[in-house]
Amino acid sequence: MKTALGLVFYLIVGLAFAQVVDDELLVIPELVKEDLADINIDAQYKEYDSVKGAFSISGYSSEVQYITSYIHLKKKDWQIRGGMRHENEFLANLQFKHRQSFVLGSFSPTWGNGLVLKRQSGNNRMKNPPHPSSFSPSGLGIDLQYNCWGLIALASQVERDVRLSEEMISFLPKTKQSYICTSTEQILAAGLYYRSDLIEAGSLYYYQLYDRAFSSSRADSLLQTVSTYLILNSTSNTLKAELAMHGKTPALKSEWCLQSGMFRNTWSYTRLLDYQRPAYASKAMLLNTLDNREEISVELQYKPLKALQFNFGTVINHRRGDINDPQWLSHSSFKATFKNSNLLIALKLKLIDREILTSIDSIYIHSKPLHLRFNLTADYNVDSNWRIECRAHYHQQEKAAALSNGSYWAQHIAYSSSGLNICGGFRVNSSANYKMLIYQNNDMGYEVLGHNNLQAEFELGYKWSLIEASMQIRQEVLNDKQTKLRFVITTVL
Amino acid sequence: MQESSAMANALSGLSILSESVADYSISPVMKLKGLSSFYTRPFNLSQISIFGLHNAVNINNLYVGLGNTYLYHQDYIYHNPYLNAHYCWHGFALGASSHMIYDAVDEEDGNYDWAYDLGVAYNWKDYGAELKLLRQNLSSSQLCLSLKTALSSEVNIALGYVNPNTYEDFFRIGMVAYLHECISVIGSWQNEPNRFGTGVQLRRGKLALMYSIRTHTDLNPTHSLSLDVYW
Repeated sequence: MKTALGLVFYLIVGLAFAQVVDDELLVIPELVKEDLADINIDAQYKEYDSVKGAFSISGYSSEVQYITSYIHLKKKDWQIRGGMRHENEFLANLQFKHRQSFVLGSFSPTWGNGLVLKRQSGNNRMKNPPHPSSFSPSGLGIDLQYNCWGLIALASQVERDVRLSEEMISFLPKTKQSYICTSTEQILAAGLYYRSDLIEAGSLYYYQLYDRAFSSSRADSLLQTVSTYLILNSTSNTLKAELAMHGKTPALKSEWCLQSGMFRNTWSYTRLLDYQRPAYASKAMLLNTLDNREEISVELQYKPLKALQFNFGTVINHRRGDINDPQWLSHSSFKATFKNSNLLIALKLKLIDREILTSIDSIYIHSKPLHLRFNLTADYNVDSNWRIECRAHYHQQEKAAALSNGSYWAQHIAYSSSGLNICGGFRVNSSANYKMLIYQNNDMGYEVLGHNNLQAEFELGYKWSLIEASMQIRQEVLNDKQTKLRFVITTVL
Repeated sequence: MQESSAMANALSGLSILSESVADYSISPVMKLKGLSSFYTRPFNLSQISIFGLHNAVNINNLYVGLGNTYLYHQDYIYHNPYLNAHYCWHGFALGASSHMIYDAVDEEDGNYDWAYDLGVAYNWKDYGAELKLLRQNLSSSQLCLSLKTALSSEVNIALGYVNPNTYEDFFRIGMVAYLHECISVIGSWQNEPNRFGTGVQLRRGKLALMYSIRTHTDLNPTHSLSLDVYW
């Protein structure tokens, strides 16, 4: 059983990285760049759920060198999870958890649709600690449940790195960075909720205080919010809505999901008029982080055959306030996926549409440049040992003066047998005048590509008993001819 | 630059006789599955290297091919990834490929072009015909018609007519001789310009190793080496 779990774990950890977000239709890496490391680590912790203990250590050597490690230990009602990263300084996030009720250390609290805390999913409201380099609430979290009723509370105090301007906070980074100044962040929250099969509802009071003022007029050092959410479930429909009130007008995020046979659709509407994003809230809107905006998104999924699936999605974000903000933004995506036991082919086309307002000689000039992206994913299992993979991206960005394009092409051949994994291939990126962001299976979850480059890649992995070790070498053939080295050692108990 | 695989080098681009997956880059109706990698040194210029890695799989009658050919010079980069799909039914094959062609001089002047190939082929017993339109919407586009037949169970020959967009029309002929179950010899000739191509393929099970050479009237010959895997 352990071996089987371990094998599943190794397979999934290898694949889940970078695919967690990549599967989301409307998301592009630029929109979730800061969250990718946390999302990847959360996916890794989820794989630990079924095992008693796990430990992994990985090292990376290139223009920067760092080591990361993660630990998971579970005994009866107690669980310890955490990660550390050492680059120039030592960073860590550690969590002690008793059942699902008490959490001490770093944690990610969830509530409703994510207007105040992280977006809720599942029964567990106190989620895993984030990536070691990310800030998170640190202190005590409580989630007590009795029959259909539940009580959630948290108390956190964190010394956060900040950039100051005239003694006021001008930038509050999400990740731990070496700024000279810090600010103390205090968060208190308490809420009550009711949960049954058909209905779920709750109300939360949230208090957040920084010991310095913000330089931006849009943010206040003291934030007090009351949030109420409602979820209605039926056989094929789910309706979710959250209202967060801390200004004159409440912020609203609502979602309706219909699943009927081979068809599924999700409609969502978000309206933020007088809204300050709390420190650890989810990103309320996909395309923008500003307030005084509203956003509508639609995702449709149709699966006419067992192996064939079509997805279409569009999101429109519209200005409701300051004339200096972009009037509207829009993303539309189409994806066709064929997947059977041997073959996966996915084609994705994304149109990024926006109106750009530029002030030239005191006259506002409107322009609607065409941005499009094309992605191809192809995997084929030749037999039980051999596998081929291909990933392709093409980005076209129309600018006023010139096109700004980039492409990425990767092909790999992999062999696996009796615990041995060998993979070789190459990556070509051609983006001489454009920095491309693509999802990658690395610590940060993405990679920034610039210039033209060709990289040869080789990976060797071996698993014996409960331990698996792998080493990856990437050699740049062009430019600096840099060598990138990465090793991972994982053990599962 | 299009005919850069070892097989295409030996056959002067007569893809109707080709058994290499790498030639999906010059024919959208190959009806082959497998993997091909090659290294080519055009005109024996040590400063220029061409690499290719190509794959093709099938889902019943539908074949899907994709690959990339990459040319490297210290001051110039060219690469041509493509995606092909073609459908085969009772000897007929109908297919199309989409190419993304990128070339850059140094780092400063990167340029993308999109081109499309269309092709139709028919095979009946020992006879075959192929009509293809390559790199449609580029100045290097060409229309190719090829016919093939088997002279014996060991020898296949083909005749081709090529109508390039910007150059003179030319003809080419090619031959594949299966000397032994492990050894094949390939040869070809074309006019305008007058070029010979020849190669030898060693085949063992699913693996095939091939070396080819192709002459040029003014320049040194082009050498190519490939490793193919069939499944």
